[in-house]
Amino acid sequence: MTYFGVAYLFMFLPLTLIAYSIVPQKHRWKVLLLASYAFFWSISKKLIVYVIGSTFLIHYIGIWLELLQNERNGILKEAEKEQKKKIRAEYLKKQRRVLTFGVLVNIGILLVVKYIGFIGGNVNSLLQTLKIPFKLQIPKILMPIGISFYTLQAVSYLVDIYHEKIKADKNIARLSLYLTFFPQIMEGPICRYSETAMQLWEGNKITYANLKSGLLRISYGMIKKMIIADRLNRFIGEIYRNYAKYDGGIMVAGMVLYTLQLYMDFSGTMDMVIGTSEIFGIKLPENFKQPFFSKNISEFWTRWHITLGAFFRDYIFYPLSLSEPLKKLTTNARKKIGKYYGPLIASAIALFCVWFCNGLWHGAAWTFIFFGMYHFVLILSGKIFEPAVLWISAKLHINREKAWYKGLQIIKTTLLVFVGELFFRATTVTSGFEMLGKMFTNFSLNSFKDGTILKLGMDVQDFIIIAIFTILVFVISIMHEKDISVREKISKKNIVIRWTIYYLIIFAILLFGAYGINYEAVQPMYANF
Amino acid sequence: MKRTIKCIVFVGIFFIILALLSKIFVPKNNTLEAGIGKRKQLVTGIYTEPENTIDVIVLGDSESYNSYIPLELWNQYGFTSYVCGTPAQRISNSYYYLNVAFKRQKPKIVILEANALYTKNGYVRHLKEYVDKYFPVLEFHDRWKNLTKEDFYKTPEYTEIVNDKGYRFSTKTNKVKKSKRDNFMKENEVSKKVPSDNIKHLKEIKDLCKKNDAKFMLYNSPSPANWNYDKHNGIEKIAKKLGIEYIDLNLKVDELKINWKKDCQEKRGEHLNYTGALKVTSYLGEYLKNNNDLPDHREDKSFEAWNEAYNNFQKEIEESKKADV
Amino acid sequence: MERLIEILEEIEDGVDYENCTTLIDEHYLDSLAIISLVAELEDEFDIVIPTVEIIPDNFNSAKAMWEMITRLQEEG
Repeated sequence: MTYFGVAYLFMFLPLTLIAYSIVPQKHRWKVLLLASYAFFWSISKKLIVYVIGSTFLIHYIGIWLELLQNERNGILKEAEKEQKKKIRAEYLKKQRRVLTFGVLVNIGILLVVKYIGFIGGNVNSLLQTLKIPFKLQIPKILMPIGISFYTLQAVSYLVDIYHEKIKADKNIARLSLYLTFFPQIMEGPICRYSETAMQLWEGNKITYANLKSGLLRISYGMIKKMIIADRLNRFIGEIYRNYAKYDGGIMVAGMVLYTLQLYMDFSGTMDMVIGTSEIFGIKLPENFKQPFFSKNISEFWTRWHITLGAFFRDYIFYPLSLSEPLKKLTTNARKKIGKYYGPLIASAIALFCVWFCNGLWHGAAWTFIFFGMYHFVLILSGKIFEPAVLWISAKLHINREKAWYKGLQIIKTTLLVFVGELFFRATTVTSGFEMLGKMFTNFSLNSFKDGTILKLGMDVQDFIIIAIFTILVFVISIMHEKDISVREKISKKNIVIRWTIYYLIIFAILLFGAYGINYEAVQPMYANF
Repeated sequence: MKRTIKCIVFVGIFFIILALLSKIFVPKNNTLEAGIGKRKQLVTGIYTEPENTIDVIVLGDSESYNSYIPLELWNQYGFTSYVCGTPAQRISNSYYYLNVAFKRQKPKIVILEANALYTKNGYVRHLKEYVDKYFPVLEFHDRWKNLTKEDFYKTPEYTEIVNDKGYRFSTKTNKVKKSKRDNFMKENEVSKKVPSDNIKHLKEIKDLCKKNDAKFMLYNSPSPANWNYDKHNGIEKIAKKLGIEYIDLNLKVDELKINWKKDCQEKRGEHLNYTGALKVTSYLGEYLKNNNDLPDHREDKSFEAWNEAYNNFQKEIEESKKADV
Repeated sequence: MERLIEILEEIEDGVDYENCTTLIDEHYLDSLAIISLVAELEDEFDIVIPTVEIIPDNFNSAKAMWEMITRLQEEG
């Protein structure tokens, strides 16, 4: 079952909605939980034990942490003032051990399930190059759906309890629902307990307004995913598989259009996910905020896959860069190399960890690690050269607030993103470099003139459709960037215009969607990360 | 209340537009130019073969049109057959196509490839069948790319006689994995139950054949991926019970001299390719000829088109050989 | 408070720190700037800012930062 399949859209979701609306409010969470487990089961079958195991684990670890906190608070009340600090430290140590255990088990399962093949494979090729006649037997482990997403949610839950931002949930059913809520289990967004758990539990009524608004959001997602992303699938696959056959012009097309495909696929799925939740009266955090209007790479990552970036920022970057050793480093460095570059050293170390994890999280392959390191270098060098850029632009009397300057920044950022996504999609790092190299050594527009470009799985009409709908998405993005709610605008029109728009959307998806026997089924791109 | 009416009106208009678009998008002929698509075209030939010229009708899923070669049997024995197989055909579809066939044809024998008997008809599939039938715009939505003026006013009419009589020619070859092919027909006592819904449809097909004076029988084409002894037992049981003749060629792999290195399309061994199908077809042809009274039309002037079709088929084979070299 | 504004201006120029209440939400301060800022504040006001305090609510405006600083100074 996938979010854009017939079984989900016309059977699973409507049945869940009907069941949800007919049961009394206090039982609605049961419908959601049952549906979530059914959804999980339909894809991963017995592997559902993984998520159930994780749920039990974080449930009890959470309670344990809170017990320690309560015990500490009890003792603190009685204690003398001088002793308080010592007691605090003592309990912090205890809590830290429990937390570490919980986090390690969760992450450990993820590591084993996701990376054992990759690690084993690399060890074997190392053994081979060293001519050691020994080979590891790599067990094949099946990966349950959504493990990369719910594991992060589980970790954030435990850390938030540890930091006393939230209380441990005594209700294991609510915790299960928080981990497995079906619209978000496959591709996120990665939610915090404080954001969604209570909403999921409330069982809000499905209102007509929510239904309409949710469906509109879903249909926008379908336009992005079914009309644009899926139509590009065959073309992109051919270029990245057989890049050796084509010239630099095609490489550029493959690079740009893959970024388009990835964006339309992932953000379209997010529209589907968030729209679906909206119908249930649940507000999930946004995962995209017009990323292609970013002026630098750090900003890009606050607008693209926002919840992943936020997870790494809050659970890796800050804790690391503000940890004792790195803080000391910062203090020393500030004295020696100044207020600007001093703190940058600690930040760079933390940033490296963030981007190493980010790359690895996307998948067990060198291309992803390269993708992470690429962004690390870009962001860090952006910071290193910032004073120089400021100095130069001041000397040249450039007004950095002018539209043309911002436009240039946006174009530069977009180009850098294109290159990053090229490596993200490339079969190996080497082939990524070869593809990139071709753009410079073997660039020509011949493939566009002699029609080669139309023989890779898309014809002229396909390109036209993609262009039209990409422009549509672009215009809507500009409106969103200006804080104009398109859905609100539509709802204020009179019924004739409104219905015309609805029918246009529906029939655009039905006619121009890339579904049916002429298209291969497209695997959801982010579900396997 | 007002809202409910609005919803009903909205959905009503939606279906009206869908029906109108369907009229435009449905292919107006069974030619590839009209947009019928290769897979769909295979089965449409049954609508256009001249009346009362087909002696054998074959039904089933992909196993049928990948294993039974009507034109080869024409060449060897002179009787005519047509394969009404479609991808993942459900037994209810088989019944539907047999009805279509009986409208214009008086076949002496009807054969069903029995793999379809184990395919359940899920709700989604059911829904899709209805939608395809009443709103073909969804199946043919891609035709927006090449709609012509005629599409807006013509009603569909099939005129094209389809090449190869429903057989889907394929020379794709993959060596079947050893783990798949070894012992896939290991004898045992277990018998896999045929879903009761499918048995119901099977009986309907049998009755329909009886009404039309046609003999009904079952066969299975060799397929390590799709077949095993449990399934064999299941079909054997139901065939005995209903008094239907049944040949399982999975048991005769050695006799047929199936070469797993050369005769299959996929590594898992789902479907036979041309060389494999030739072996199955020869066996079935001899069996059909020896056990039934089938006519030989080869000298009949009114069947000249079949000779032509056979020659075209041979050309197709020659060309594919050239392409392979 | 004035000293705080000065520090902020040193880290990222050209923002109206007196009135802006969306320093984090609108990305005027990114996470690297926060690290510099934390180091500077700890130095200047002789406080320790634990990780728990690094939340948008505490850094979205100069006023919120000032409140956090005074609170941490009192807790000492």
